[in-house]
Amino acid sequence: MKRTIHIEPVTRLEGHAKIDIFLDEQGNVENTYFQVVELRGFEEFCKGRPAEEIPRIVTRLCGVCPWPHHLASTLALDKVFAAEPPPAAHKIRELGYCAHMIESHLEHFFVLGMAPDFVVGPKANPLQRNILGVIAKVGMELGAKVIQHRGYAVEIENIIGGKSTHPVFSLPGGVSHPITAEQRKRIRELAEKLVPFCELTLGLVDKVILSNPEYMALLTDKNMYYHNSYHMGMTDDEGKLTFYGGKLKVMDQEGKYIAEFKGGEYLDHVAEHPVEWSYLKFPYLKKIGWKGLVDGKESGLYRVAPLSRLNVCSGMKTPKAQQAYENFFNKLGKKPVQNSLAYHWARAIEALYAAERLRELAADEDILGKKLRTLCRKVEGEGVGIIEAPRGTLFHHYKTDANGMMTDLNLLVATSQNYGAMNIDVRNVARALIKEGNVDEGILNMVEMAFRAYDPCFSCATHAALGRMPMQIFIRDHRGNEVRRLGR
Amino acid sequence: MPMSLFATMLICCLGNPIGGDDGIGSVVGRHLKRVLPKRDFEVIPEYAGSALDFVLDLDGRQKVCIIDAIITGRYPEGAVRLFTEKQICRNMKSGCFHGVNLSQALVMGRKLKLKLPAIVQLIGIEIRPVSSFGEKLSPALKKRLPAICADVERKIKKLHSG
Repeated sequence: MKRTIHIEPVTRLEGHAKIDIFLDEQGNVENTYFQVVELRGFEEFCKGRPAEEIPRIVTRLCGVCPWPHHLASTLALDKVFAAEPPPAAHKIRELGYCAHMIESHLEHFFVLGMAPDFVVGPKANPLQRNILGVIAKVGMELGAKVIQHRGYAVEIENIIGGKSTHPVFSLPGGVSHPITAEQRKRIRELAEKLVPFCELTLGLVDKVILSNPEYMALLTDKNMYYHNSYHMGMTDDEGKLTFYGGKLKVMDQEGKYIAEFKGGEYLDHVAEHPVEWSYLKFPYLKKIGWKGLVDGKESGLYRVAPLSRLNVCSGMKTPKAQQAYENFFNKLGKKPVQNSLAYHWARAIEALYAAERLRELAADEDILGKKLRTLCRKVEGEGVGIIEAPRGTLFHHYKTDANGMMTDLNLLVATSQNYGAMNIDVRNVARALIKEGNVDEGILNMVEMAFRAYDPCFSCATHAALGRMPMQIFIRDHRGNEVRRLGR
Repeated sequence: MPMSLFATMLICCLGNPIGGDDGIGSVVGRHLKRVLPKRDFEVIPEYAGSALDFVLDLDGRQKVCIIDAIITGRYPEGAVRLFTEKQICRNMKSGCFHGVNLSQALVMGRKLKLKLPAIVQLIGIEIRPVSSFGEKLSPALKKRLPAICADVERKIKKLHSG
């Protein structure tokens, strides 16, 4: 008897989505669909508005990605208005952004992904697979440290951004305010604390995953949480990883670079494929082409975010992160690493890099510079802003008219670029684990782990209702009749 | 810690200014900021922070109230409901899209022995599901706004004096 398993809503991700798992007559997985079931229409909302308002509006896309959107937006407007920011402004933007990367990566590591799934356990009681369960496992002292150090990153975001969650400081051509000597002193104090904490966080990967044969088997498995894709990420002029101000490179399955381009050229390299069953389109590499939800060299699907960034770059600019990068590839083999669960490890390395880079920038005398804005020279034009969001590469593409009003806007977000990869991983894991109709909570969580490693963000327009948010799985026969229901 | 933090009630209002009716918490917050005496109430009409940020912001406070839109489907549009911390925790048992929800953050804060206020309450304003972006309230909610503001104000004053 054919049946369908629905996981809706999937948990510990940003936004609204569901997973349908279709079983065949024998109860094995025929196919899976990881669907995005919300339509946002944000682009349409922005058209006809003064372009300079957009960096402030896009921070309201969601409460998790406001910094990348704020900065990608101003980077696009720097170009539209032909206003290249002074060096100090770039450094202040990057400094604040490093704090955001730390905050976001720590939150995913301890609250959403690695810690609930590996510290508490992939098959643990779902009611304990959360931050409270993590604290119960790691102890109050480490739990308090997580909250405290995440709070330090938020304090820096507040100093630079005005608000941590919806920053308002970045403007076309620069930033709105300088950093005072006193603020810089405080940022340096906090950076000194964040570096060792991020080292400790990275140490947890070693302690929890690398030292556990069962978890290592999962991490290096080639049947699930694994597929052969292209990778895209940002590097600086020397090829080192950067989140801000670099160019993009694409690496193939053999570790060869097949493309290198600036933000403004992205349409020469990336296209999107719509499907009937999801509001999200699938980006793919234009020159390779769309071949469906399959991996391999013939398929234009590519991945972004921490693992891809480590694959694509030639190394890290800071010493401790460089050491961690070398250790990563020594343990997991040659580039590109294709194991999706390695995203967690790569994320911890990036958090350490962000902390070291933050410390470096805070020590730079230029950061106290007073020339922070370049006057805008025109209002009509086109510009593309790119930035590496915690969840991957983010593109903002704007066009304005002679009055500086938005006429066109395209956002290509990180999660959509990993959407094909997440679908493939969900399908591979479901096929590997669900046999003869046997499925339980632990297995379904392991299916969810396939997309959670990417730290997806489908972003919420509204708050969840006060009340129990159901996590329900419907199992239906081929006529659509419900034969079993699992609930959380 | 300034004495005022102990004396005043912190009111954190949540709302997306481009989320249509989802912005009702901030609309009401701006009204409260105008009408409530500053010596007794500190109103933040557009609180910006996650649940984890929120518990850190509660350090040393004695009374805290959150004002936000809610969607339960159990009350008429514009209904104003008061939830105690116990009710918040009882009703928010499963995961939140934002990682840590308010309930988990409060439980976690108390477990970690943060200096949280004895009283944390939520005033929820029932709205209909929001499906598109907009800077204005829907006509139905806008019509009820004066009554909503008055009801929230009354509840806040009662909480403060209670």
